[in-house]
Amino acid sequence: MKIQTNAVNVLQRTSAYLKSGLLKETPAWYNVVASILPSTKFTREPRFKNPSNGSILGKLVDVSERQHVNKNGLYKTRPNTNDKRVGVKKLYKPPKLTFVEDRLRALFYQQHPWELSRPKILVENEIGDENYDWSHMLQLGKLLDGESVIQRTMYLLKTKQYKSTVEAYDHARYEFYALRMQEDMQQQVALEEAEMFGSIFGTSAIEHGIQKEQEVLDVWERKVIEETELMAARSSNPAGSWKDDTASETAQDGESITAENLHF
Amino acid sequence: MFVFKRSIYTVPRLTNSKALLQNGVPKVLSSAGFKIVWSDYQRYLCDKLTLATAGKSFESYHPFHILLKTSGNPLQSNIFNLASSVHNNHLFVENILPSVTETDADSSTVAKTEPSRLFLSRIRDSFNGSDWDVVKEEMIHQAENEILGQGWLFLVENSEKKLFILTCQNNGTPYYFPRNQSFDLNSAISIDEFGTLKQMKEIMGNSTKLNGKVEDWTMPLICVNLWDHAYLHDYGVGDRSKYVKNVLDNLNWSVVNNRLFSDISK
Amino acid sequence: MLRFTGGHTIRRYSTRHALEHLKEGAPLQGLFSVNGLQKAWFDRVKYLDTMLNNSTNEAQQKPLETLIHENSKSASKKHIVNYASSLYNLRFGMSSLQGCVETSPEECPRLGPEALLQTPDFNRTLTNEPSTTGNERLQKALDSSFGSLMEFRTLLMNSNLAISGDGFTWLVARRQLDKRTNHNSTSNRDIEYDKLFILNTYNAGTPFNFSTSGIMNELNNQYNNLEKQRVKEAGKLDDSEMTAKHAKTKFIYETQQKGFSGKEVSYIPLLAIDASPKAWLTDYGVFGKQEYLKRVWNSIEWKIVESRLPQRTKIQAFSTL
Repeated sequence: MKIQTNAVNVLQRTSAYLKSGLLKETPAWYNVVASILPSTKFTREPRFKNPSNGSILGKLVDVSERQHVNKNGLYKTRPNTNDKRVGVKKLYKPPKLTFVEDRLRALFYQQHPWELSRPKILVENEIGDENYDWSHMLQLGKLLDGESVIQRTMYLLKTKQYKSTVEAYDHARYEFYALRMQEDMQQQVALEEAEMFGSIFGTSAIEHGIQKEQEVLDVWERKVIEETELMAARSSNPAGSWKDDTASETAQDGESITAENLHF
Repeated sequence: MFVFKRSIYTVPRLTNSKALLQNGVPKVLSSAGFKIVWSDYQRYLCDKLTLATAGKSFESYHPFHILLKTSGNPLQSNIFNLASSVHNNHLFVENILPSVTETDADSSTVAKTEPSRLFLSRIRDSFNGSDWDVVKEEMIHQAENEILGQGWLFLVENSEKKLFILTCQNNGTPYYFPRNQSFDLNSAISIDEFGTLKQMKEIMGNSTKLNGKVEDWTMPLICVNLWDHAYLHDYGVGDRSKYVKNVLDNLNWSVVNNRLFSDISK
Repeated sequence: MLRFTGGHTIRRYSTRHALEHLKEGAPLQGLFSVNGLQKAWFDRVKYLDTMLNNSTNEAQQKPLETLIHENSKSASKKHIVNYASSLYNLRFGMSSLQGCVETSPEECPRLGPEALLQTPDFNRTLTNEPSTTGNERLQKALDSSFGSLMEFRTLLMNSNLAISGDGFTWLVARRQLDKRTNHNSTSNRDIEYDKLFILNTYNAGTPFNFSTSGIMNELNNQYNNLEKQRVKEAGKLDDSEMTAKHAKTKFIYETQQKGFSGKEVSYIPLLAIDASPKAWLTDYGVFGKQEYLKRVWNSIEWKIVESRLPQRTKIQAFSTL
């Protein structure tokens, strides 16, 4: 099939339409596309290196570099089919991007799964505009979370304060713990202070639970008193109480209990 | 009231900030004292509030809304404290700033302002005929008597348009009575105070049961910062009452008069 | 700078509350400048002492502890208690601060807003450890109560840093009160503690729980009685129903209160750290509380703290609580 170039020429065509008056209004995308033109290159180029970490995806065998003689006593001057067949598939596939940060993130959230449960806003302001200085972990305008640990680790590695990633990560992690401890303490003390200065909060979840339980218990209490009185009235059989034979008395009791059970 | 730049709280710019930082507030604060209570302390509170809210649900709220939203949640007392004092401190600085005649802001001629007639008559109505000077004395007395540590002194107007004096411990807010923080439970309290607390608790308990909200329409008219940051530098340890007196003597009445409810529709 | 003249009452620095190591007009090495110490200690003592003398005639004859203890349940005498306990707390806090070898806070650059973003010091190398100053007994006690000295320091510093207004952070030793012995008369040697705790008090609060425990119950009873009377006068509700309701709430209330005060215990203060801006604002500025606390830690004289530490009890039954 012929290479389809119509789509790429959309700007030219629209310009022509506008000029001729076929289109009355300039489309909203017009200026954007004009400043960032669609690519007209359709050939796929092999990628020999992974751009994220520079690892080599494939290498053409240069036979001229092979200086040694093969078993027939001959030098190889041209590549054969086997030499030419470098993992072609790999070369044209988009390479998998891997970053150290991602591995650190995975590690951090595996070690601290509850960090994921903290609420945070997912709407981003403007990416890449932050300009954070990672010589300290707290940032104005950024939530203290796992990402802070990762960025701080990377900073420590970049400034060569630590050689091994593990050590840098541990350092950042301990800083994070120290800050979290401070934060938790602040919350606790603020609450204590507020209560000592006469703040009134609504009923807490536990108090609410006790209240609800109490309501049920009140009803139950009334019922139980009624039932007990009823039971006492029933069991105080005038004939039974006059008997002084203990054996028959227990029998009597037993009977009344079974009677009650049936009743319930 | 507050300028936002990507969820960071910043100290609001004042109209004549240059002159203020140079000369302080005449008869109330020196330039260094003003720098502590406004440039430094307000910055401190704003930064702390940013750290406490960034990336969470309160991120782009005004401090005033944050203080109302967090007032009922005991676990957010920390955020409440910051938001409440950011707001209070702004109220305070607004009503002590000398009002500058707009034509020559550079030379900063201080225009003398007076309490409005409406304000004075409201005072007489609310305090059994006492005039403003008596109420002022009472305010100074209450600040001395009630606030042992840090706090705020307010003259507030309630929903019946009555004025009364309110003292708040630490970071209490005048807008919501369960968080006024008017009592100091660190020392003994009287049976009356205990009763008030208990009644407040009952009201709160009922409100959650009925799923309703406690309504409080109190508005502050005059705000005095009783924190050490405001007076320690200029007045020293024992002279807070003198500072309170100076503040109340040199209020910017055009601001206070504007805060008073005036029923224009009538 | 404003100057105020006239109407200034001359306050003398009372020798009654004086501490030997603090001299007017001299700095406390590494912690307070001359001016800072003046505001953090001398001016406050003078002010509180004057106020205390104004509110009671007994201030000169009785020690502060007695004043606090005797008046702590009465709301009408709350000013006496407030001033007395503020003085007591302040003096207690200052008594164990002997200065350190760091450069004077005056000479250090004033900390700006960037100080808020600094991570608190968490190095595992500690300065001013009790064991290095020869206070092994204290170190051992701290280790067994808090896990390690590092944990103790973090908890102590964080508790104090979190106080937004006035207050003190205390290191206290808990003592199980034996019903047979009277806790007022026992000499220091007989007192035994079972565990150390860190505790915050706000404004003029004291760690002496024995003087205030039960006060809320008492108030609650009074309030309920008043309420009952009011209802009776109005003659509306059925009396028996009312009492039943009150009995129930009273029970819940008292159980709640018991949860706070626990068993019969009292707390012996060992160390107090002042959180009030009056202590640090002059020397360290609005952003300097963390720096102030760092220096406070280095200034603690452990010998004094250890001298307050009673013997550890042999009975370790409650130590897990």
